[in-house]
Amino acid sequence: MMPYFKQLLIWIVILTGYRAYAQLPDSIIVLKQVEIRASRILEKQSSTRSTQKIDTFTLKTYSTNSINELLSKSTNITINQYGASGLSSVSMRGGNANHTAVLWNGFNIQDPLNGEFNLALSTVNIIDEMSINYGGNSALYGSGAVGGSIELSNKALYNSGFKASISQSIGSFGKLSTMGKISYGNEKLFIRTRLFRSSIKNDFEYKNFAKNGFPMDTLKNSAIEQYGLLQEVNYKITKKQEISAQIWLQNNERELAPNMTVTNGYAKQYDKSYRMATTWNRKSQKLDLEVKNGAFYSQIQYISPDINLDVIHTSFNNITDAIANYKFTKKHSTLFGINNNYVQAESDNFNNIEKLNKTAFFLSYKFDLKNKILLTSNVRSETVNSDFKPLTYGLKFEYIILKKLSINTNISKNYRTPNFNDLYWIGAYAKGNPDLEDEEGMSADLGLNYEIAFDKLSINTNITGYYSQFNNLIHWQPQGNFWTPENKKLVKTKGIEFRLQSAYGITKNMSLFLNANYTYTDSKLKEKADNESDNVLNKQLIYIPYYQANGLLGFSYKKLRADIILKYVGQRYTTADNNNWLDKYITTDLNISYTYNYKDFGINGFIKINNIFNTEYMVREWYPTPLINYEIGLKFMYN
Amino acid sequence: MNLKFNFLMMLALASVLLFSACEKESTKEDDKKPPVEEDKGYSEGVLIANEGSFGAGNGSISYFDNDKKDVTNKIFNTVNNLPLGDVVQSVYRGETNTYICVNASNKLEVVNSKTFETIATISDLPLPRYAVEKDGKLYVSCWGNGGQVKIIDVASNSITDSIMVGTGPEAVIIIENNLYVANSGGFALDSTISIVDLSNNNVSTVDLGAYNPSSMTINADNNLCILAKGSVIYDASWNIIGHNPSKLIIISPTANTISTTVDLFSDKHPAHLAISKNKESIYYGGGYGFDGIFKIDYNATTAPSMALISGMFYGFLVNNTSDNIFALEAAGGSNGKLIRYSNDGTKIDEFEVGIFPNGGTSKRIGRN
Repeated sequence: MMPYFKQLLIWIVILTGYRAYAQLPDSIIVLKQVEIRASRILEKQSSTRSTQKIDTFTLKTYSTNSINELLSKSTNITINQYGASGLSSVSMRGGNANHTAVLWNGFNIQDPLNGEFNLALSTVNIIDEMSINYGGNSALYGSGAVGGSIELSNKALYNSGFKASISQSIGSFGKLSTMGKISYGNEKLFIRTRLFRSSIKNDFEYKNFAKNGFPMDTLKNSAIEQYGLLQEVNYKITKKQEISAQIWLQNNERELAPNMTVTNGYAKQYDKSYRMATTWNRKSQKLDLEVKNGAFYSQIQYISPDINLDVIHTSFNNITDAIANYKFTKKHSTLFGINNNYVQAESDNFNNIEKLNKTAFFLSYKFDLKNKILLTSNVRSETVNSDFKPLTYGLKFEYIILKKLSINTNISKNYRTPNFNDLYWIGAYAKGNPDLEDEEGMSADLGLNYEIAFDKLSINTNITGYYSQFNNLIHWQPQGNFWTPENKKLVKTKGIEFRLQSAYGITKNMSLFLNANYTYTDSKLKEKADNESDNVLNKQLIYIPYYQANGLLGFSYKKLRADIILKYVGQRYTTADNNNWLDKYITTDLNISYTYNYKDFGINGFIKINNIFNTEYMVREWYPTPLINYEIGLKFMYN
Repeated sequence: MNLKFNFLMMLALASVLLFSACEKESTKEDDKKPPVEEDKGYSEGVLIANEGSFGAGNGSISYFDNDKKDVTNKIFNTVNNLPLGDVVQSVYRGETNTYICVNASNKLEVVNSKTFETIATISDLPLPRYAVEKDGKLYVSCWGNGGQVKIIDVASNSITDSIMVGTGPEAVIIIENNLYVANSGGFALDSTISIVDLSNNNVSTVDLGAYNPSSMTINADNNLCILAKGSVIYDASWNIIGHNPSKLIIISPTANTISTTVDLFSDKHPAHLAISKNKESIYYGGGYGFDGIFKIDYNATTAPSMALISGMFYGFLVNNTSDNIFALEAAGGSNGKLIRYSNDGTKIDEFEVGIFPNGGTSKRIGRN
C-alpha cells in the first residue's frame, strides 16, 4: 500500500506546488457536510444515511453538462450511451434503464412508451438537488424503482431576495451553452425563471477502428440542439401551508450518428417535453399532508430518410399523489398515500389510442429512535386497469452503532409494469404483447456508513454489499413471422458499492478534496429466452462491467479550485454469450474554476479539459468518443 | 493523530483503487496492427455469412475447412483487425476477389479470396443484398432507392452504373448474357423477377404468379429455379387474415417463360433455396418461423409433405464439395450453430458460428 500512497503524494505536489503537505496547518477551516433536508414526504421517508446526495460543488461543476455526464463521473451508476448524440441509458445494480426510476420533484418521468428517461438531454443547471437511492424502492415509488432511483429536485429559496445570473460557455466541437436565471424570494413567495439553450455539433475526430489503417474520421450527423424554460412559483399560504408549481418546457433536436461500421446515416429525432408539477402541502407537529399533481406531455418524432421512416409517438401522463404522514409520538409515525397514474399514448406504431389507469395505495410505518434506530416498513397495493397486482413491500433498518458509524439494511420486493411499446407496438415483423406481466424484483443489501465532520476534516463513506434478482424480464423474441416480447428471463446480481467523500483543510484558505466511487457488479443470466443458446446462461450481462470506479482529487486555494477526475470502466461484454467484449479504459479530466466576488456581484470562470491523455475508448461498441476536448465558461451573478 | 491516520488510510485505499486501474491499461494500436497474411485456403471451403445483431456492427464470416472439417470464426475480423460491419447479408466468391454485402452498413467489402485481406470498401450502396460477377463487372442487388442493381467495375472497385429493378431485389444469377433478379418485395409485395440484358442493360419483367421471390438456383436442365416465399396477409391492425402461398417456379432461360410451378405451402413461407451437387435435388426451407428443410426432385411437379430435416433454421446451404447440407441455427444476439447433415438428412456434427448465420457460399465452380 505504501508505494501507492507515495504516488498519490507526488500527484498532490505536482498539482498544487505545495510541498509541505506533512506540515499540519494551524488555521481552522470548517467544511460543512452538505445537508439536504428533503421537503417532500416520500423523499424523507426513503432517505437514509446510505442515500447518495450529490454535493453542490459537483452540481456546479457539471452545471453546463448533461446529467448523465455527472452521474458517470461521480456516482456508482453505469452509463451506456449510443454515441455522442444517442440515447443514454443508466444501469443500477444489474438492472437496465427501465429499472431505474428518475423522479423530478417527486414524479416519475420515465417515458411511458419506452420506459426510459434520456439523461443526456437534461443539463444539470436546471435542477438544484440530486440524490440517488441504490436498490429497489417500488413500495414507495411504484413501477420502475427496481435497481435504484435518481431524484432530481428544484428547491425554493425563501428570503433570498433578488438574485440573477447568466452563464455562457463555449467548448470543443461547436459546444455552446447559455443559461439565464432570475429569482426573487421573500418570506412568503419564491419565484424563479430559468431560460436555457445549448447546442453542440459533435463533429469531432476519432480514430476509425472499423476502417482499414484506422484513419482519423470526423463524426457526422451528430449535432444536438436544445432549448427550454423552467419556471417555479412557491407560495406560503400560511406558516404551515405551501403551494408550489414548476413548469419545465424543453425542445430537443438531435441527429443520430450511426456506428463506425456504417458508412453514412441521416437519422434524426425531435423530442419535445412539456412538464408541469403542482404541489400543496401542510406541515404541522403531528400531521403532514401533501397533495400533488404532475402532468407530462411528450412527443418524439423519429425520421430516417435511409429507410423512409417518419414516425411520431406522443404520450400524456398524469400523476396524482395524496399523502398523509401522522406522528403518533416522537418515535412512531405512519404514512398513508394514494397514487393515481393515467397515461394516454398515441403512436404511428399503435393501433389505437392506448390508455393505462393505475391506482395504488401505500402504507408506511416508521420507528425513529433518534440517533440509535431507524426502521421503515412500506407496503403497496396497486390496481392496473382495474386488475389487482400482488403486494409489494420494503423494509429499511438503520442502526447507529456509534455516533459516526451506522449499519443499514434494505429488503424490498419491486416491480416494473410493461411499457407501452412492449404491450402495444404494431409494425412490420414486430408486435407487442398485451398479455405481458410485470417484471418483478427482489433486492437486499447491507451497508456501513461512516461520517465525521471535524474542524479540518470531513469524511463521508459508505460500503454496501447487495444481492438482487429480476424475474420475468421482458425479452423480444421471434414467434412465427413476428418478434414479440415475453416474460422470460431471470437475472441474479450481487455486488459491492463503495463511496467516499472527504475534505481536509490545510490552512484557512487551502483545502484538499478526495472523492472515490467503486463498484463490483456480478450480474448473471440464470434463465434465458427461447431464441437464445445455452451459452448465454450464467454469463455476465452485456455492457455491465464487473469493475467500475471514479475519483476526484481536488485542491482549493481561496476561491480557486482545481480538480482531477479519473474514471475507470472495466471490460464489458457486448454479446450475451460473452464471446465479444470492449476493453477497459480510464479517462482523466481536469477542471479549474475561479470565483471573484465584489459586494453583491460575483463572477465565476471555469475551464474544463476532458480526456487529457487522449484515451481511445468505446462506451458502446463501434460508437466513437471524443479525444481531448475543452470547455470554458463565464458566469455573472448578482446576490 | 488517530484522526490523521484514518484520513491517510482512506486516501491510500482510494488511491489503490484509482492507480491500480491505471497501470493495467494497454494501448489500442498494439492490439490492432494487421499482420501480413499468406494464403489460408479461404478460396476453397465454405464461407458462412453471419449477419450479427442490427445496430451492433458485429456481423462476421465463418470459414469451414473441407479437409480439416473445422470452423474458423470471424476470419475477416481476425485477418484485417477490423469489424466487418452491420448486418452481413451475403458473401460471394468472384473470379479473383470475394465480395461481402454488408446491408445496414451500406457497403461492400472486397477481399482477397485466398487470404481474406481487405482490398477495398465500396460505400454508398443503398442496403446491398447479393452480388454476382461477369466480364469484369459486379452486379449488386440493393433494396434502397426503390430497388436497384448497382454495377461495379471490378478492376477499379467503383460504382459505374445503376439499373432500376423491382421492389426488394434479392438473389441475382447470370445465365448466358442475362442477369436474373428476384424481386422479393422487401417489406411489401412483388411478384416479379427482373431480367437485365447485359449487352444493353435493358430490363424486362416476368410475373411469376406468386409473391416475393427471394432465392434462386440453377438445376440439372440448366433451368432457373425460383423460390417465391409468398407472404402473410395482415389487416391494418397487423392481424393475420390470410396468406399468399409459397411456390417453386422453374423458368427456361431460353424463352424466359414459366415451365413449371410447384405449389409448396398455402400458409408457410420458406426463405431459402439450394441445389445438390449433381443439381438433381432442390432443397428449400429455413427463415423466420419456418420449420424444416425439404428436398424435392429437380423435375418433380408436386411437393413432399415431410421435411428431410426438421428444425428452425435461419438459413442453410449445400456444400458443393461434399453434397452435405449446412443448416444454420440462430441464437438471438449470441453465436449461432452450423449443423451438418448428409444429403439423406442424417446429422453429422455441429459447430459454433457467428451471430445470426443466414447462408453462405461453397467452392466457386463455373460462374455462379
